[in-house]
Amino acid sequence: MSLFASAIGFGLVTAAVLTLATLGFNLQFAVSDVLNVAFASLMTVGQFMAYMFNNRGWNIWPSAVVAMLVVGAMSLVMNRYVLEPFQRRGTPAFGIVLVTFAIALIVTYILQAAFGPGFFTYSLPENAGAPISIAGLIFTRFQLTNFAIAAACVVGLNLMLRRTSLGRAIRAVADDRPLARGAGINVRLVTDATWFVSGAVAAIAGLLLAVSQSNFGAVSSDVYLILVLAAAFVGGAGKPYGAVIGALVVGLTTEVSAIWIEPQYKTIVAFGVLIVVLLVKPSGVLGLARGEIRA
Amino acid sequence: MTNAQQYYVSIVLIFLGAGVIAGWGFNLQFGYTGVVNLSFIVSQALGAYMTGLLSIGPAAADSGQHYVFGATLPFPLPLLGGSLIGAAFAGLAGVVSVWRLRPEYVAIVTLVIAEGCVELVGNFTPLLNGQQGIANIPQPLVDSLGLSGPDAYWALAVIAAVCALLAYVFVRRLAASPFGRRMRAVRENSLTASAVGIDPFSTRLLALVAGGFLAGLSGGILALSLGAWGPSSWAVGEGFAILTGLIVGGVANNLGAALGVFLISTLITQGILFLPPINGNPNINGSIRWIIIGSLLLLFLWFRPRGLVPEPQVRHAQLEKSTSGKFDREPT
Repeated sequence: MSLFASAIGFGLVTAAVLTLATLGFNLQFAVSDVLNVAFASLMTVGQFMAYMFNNRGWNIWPSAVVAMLVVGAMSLVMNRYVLEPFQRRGTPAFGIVLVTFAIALIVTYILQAAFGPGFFTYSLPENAGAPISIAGLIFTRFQLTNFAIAAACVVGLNLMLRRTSLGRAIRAVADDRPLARGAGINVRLVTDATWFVSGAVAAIAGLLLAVSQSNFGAVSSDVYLILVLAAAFVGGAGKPYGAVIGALVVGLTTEVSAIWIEPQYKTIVAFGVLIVVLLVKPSGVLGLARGEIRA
Repeated sequence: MTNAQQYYVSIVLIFLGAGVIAGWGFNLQFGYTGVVNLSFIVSQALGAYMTGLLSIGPAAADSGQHYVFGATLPFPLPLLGGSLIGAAFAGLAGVVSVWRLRPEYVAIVTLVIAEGCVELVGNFTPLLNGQQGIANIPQPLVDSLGLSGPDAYWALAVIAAVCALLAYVFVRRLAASPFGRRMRAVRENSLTASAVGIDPFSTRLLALVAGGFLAGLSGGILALSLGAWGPSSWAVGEGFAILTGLIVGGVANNLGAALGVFLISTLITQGILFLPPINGNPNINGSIRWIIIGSLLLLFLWFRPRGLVPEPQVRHAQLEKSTSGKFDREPT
């Protein structure tokens, strides 16, 4: 099997997790207009939350569900009781970015103070590392499970956004908040639901990332935030389908580039892709019309 | 004072000087012009590297260090080189980010640029010796003045003080100049500014370059005093320490910026070093520092977004008085 095909294969696994994380990030941005830098911290909280239960002998699956619920609630509370009050008093959008960064610092370093600066590993079911061959490519079982979970979540979110009344309401609020309110949509509920869902998505993405990197620590997701931001901007910030395209572009380029250059430059490749996109089409592939994004 | 105390006090003073210069540079970009440039720290770091490279000379084969070039220039020139590379990088980051993006997008994109640069410099060893960083940067003026021990650090403290003084004169004059009004106009409303003939892009770009120059200068002072510079010296988070200093002290107020940098970079950063050890966990001090900085940022953004020393409100009459006969006279 050629090197190229295997890079595409692993790129798809990477891209699936990245798509999920970017989707969570974009949902928050679309509905609340918040570029939430603390998204990576939500992922880290999910990782540690699952670790606490997993470490006490729980299986990874129920631990993951608890992590999802806790992080979803945390994300909801963060938006409702911290970010929205700032927005209501007219803090400018870049001020809100700083608020989310302050939250990220506080959360990350509380975790580091509580758990220490080391790295942590989940105890997975015994056969998790078993090799499985698909079309000549050797994957491990958990890689495929990761891919399946991420893909299922992406498809599920897509169906939720397109088919359910909650999804339609979310899209309406994202498009035009006052109009949605005027049309009788419960904007409060929709906003809370969005932040809960995207928090839960952050927890899953964090877990999948921790499993695929085989360990995690309090600050290990910070660099991943760069990939999420790059994917979000390449695809067009706030666009659900942009997340898929952006994550595919970033995920595949980073893995395929590892054929020619050393793998530790992956993040730099993502950053190069972002800069090229910003220079050519700053609103992203599926972004807003040109005028809307200008300063 | 004992020698150890002299070392400590002089180094804290050097750090304060460098921090204040960086704070003023950031203030030009963020405070006056409203550009949230989170890659500011990279300007500072590149300034430090450049100053180091221009002092240390070419990499000797047996030193175990690899870097692109080196020279041994006489004293003020390495600092100047560092300042220029800081300005050049800020300009480059500006072309990519502020060209057509909204302010909050600029913050995110410059954050990505900063992380990308940290990764690049840390992993690409031939460039700037990777994670090891460059070491054995000679201190300036040691040979020519015959300094030794703490005196070399006191000399650096004097250099830092002189640079800080020059930087203060520079930012003050710039803020009071017509360009200073252009910066504030772009910050308040870039559309209105462009309607009266101010180009927001070139104004932001120039503010970035001027701030980057000061960032590079502050990095150069840091590199000379530390004698080494590597990725561990400039985590992206350090930019947030400076930013928090600005917001705590007072945005677009140079005295406030200096006060904020003193509070954050000196009082808190040095203060936590004196905490008694907690639970036998030696790394907890760093975490406590960041928790305090994050909380201060949050609290000030909520309770006192204009900072401890707010930007003076310019009244119309004052403006007329201060500018009449000086600037902007119509050609006859």
